[in-house]
Amino acid sequence: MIYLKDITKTYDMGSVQVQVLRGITLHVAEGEFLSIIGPSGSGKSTLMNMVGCLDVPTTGEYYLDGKEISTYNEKQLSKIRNQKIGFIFQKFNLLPKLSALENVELPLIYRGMSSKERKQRSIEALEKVGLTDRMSHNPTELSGGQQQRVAIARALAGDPPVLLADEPTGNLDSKSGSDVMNLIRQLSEEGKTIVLITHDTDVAKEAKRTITIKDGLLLDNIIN
Amino acid sequence: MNIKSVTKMAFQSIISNKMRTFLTMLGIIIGVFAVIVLISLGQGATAGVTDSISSMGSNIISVNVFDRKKSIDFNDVYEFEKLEGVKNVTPVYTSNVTIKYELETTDVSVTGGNENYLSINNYEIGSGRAISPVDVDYRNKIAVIGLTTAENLFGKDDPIDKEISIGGEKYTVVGVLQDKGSTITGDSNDTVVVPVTTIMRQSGTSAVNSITVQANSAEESVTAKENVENYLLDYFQDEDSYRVFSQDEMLNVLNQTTSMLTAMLGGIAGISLLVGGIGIMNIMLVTVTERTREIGIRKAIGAGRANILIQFLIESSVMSGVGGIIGAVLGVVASNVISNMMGITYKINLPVIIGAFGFSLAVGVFFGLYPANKASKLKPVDALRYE
Repeated sequence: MIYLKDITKTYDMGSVQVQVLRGITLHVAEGEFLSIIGPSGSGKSTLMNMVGCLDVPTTGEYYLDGKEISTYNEKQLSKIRNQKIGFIFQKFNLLPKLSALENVELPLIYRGMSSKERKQRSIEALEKVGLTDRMSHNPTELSGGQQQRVAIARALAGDPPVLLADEPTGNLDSKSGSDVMNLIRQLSEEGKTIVLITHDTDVAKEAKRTITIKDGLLLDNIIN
Repeated sequence: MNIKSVTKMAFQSIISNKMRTFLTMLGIIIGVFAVIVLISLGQGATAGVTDSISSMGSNIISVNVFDRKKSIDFNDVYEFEKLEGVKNVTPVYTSNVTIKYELETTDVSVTGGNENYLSINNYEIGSGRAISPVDVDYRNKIAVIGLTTAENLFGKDDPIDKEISIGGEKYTVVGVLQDKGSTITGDSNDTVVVPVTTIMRQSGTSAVNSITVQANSAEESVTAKENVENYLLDYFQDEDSYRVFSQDEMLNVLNQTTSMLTAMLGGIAGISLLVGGIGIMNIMLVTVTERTREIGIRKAIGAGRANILIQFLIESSVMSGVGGIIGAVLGVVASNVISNMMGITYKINLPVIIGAFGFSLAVGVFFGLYPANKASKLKPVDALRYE
């Protein structure tokens, strides 16, 4: 599903060049649940941005669903983000002025779906995360756990094959954290390809396979 | 992506910051408002001037004399009557004097003319009689007065055969003019007409100020004017000694002046519209910076450059468009109120309203383009990291 070949990423900080990723080769099979663990500054967020097409690698090749996409332009990449990838962020990243339902609808709007279909699919997604009773609430009126569940519903609404979760429990208390992890596990069982990034070993153990990243290189490859 | 949902998004974000939106719109509102009010009133004034001059008749030629050495005397005036195309002539001598009747006084410009003066100037007698050739020949101390003057001096009394004092000399009122209405040049009913010979002797002069010539018809006024000019050149031997004005020319000059004034006022108002546009650009730039994170989120979940660009463009156009509509409505209302209050005519001009609105919309799009482009170019990864 996801195949990274010798990916590097170098940031140009004026006079100094900082190499954040130093040749990463990674294969994620369809339906796999993978966690990437590493200390802060190890390059795991950069890796996640590469996989999520939010950023482009300096060198290397990236195949998603069999297609070489490291050469794609901005417009093509936005289409990939819209259709193939669902993001779950540490800080939820919901739009504060929109209701939960409108937030979930957003990716479908950019897909050009009719408002009727959009609404129906968004409600289904919210049903899946158990938040149908909070549909018309704004994110500020929801607890952290509820906000993250709205964000998951948003990621699911477009029914993308890949879900990327960047520290999904990082801003949550342990109870809502485990709720969110249960939800992610359930989605994995339903066949989604999931890449989870965390620095918490307990969270990482939820995945079938854990790899460690350090100083821009992949180290261990542990099958849980 | 469909325009409807993007427009809805734009409206949501506009509404979510009401005060700022209002202040931003205010620039456009004032701009469109000013354009419409100034142009409507300007065009109204032009129409008023045109009407008042047309009402005097288009076959009138007036001659003003400036020469200090040589003058035109009362008897010279009748030489004009012999010219081809000329129907009637009246010498005109105007002086501003105080008029008294018992204890009432009023300041009015007294016009001396001959028996043709009233008909040439489209005055009709309401009661009493007009000035007759005999009055002119014998320098009779009689006066014909306008309605307003009659009211000022006599109230509700009948002025006919009453004696009034004009500049210290006694005149008998023999006639009252019919209502002629008021024009842009003032109240036509506030006037006193006396035989020109009488007032000239009272002022101790033999020279007339001006001569009004009536051509046979509007068509013949061109010939008549040429003949009058030739005669005057022959008489004075100097083109700067006199000025000949036909009603048509006066109309043109006034029209030109007022339309230039209207265009200038409209232009100044247009500048305020432009300033309003810069206000929109300023706010949109602030908005883009403020909403960097939002842009990042939208891009992460699949918004392309075009989506972001259109969203911000629609926001700026909606602001300027709604501002334009409000400004247009206020402008029409204010034009109405002002023209009613000041008693001047105004013309609501649909092209001007549409033009002002269209311009405001264009301003919104134009000044929204740069911020919208800036927003659409943000890299998702940088935008998401923005706090």
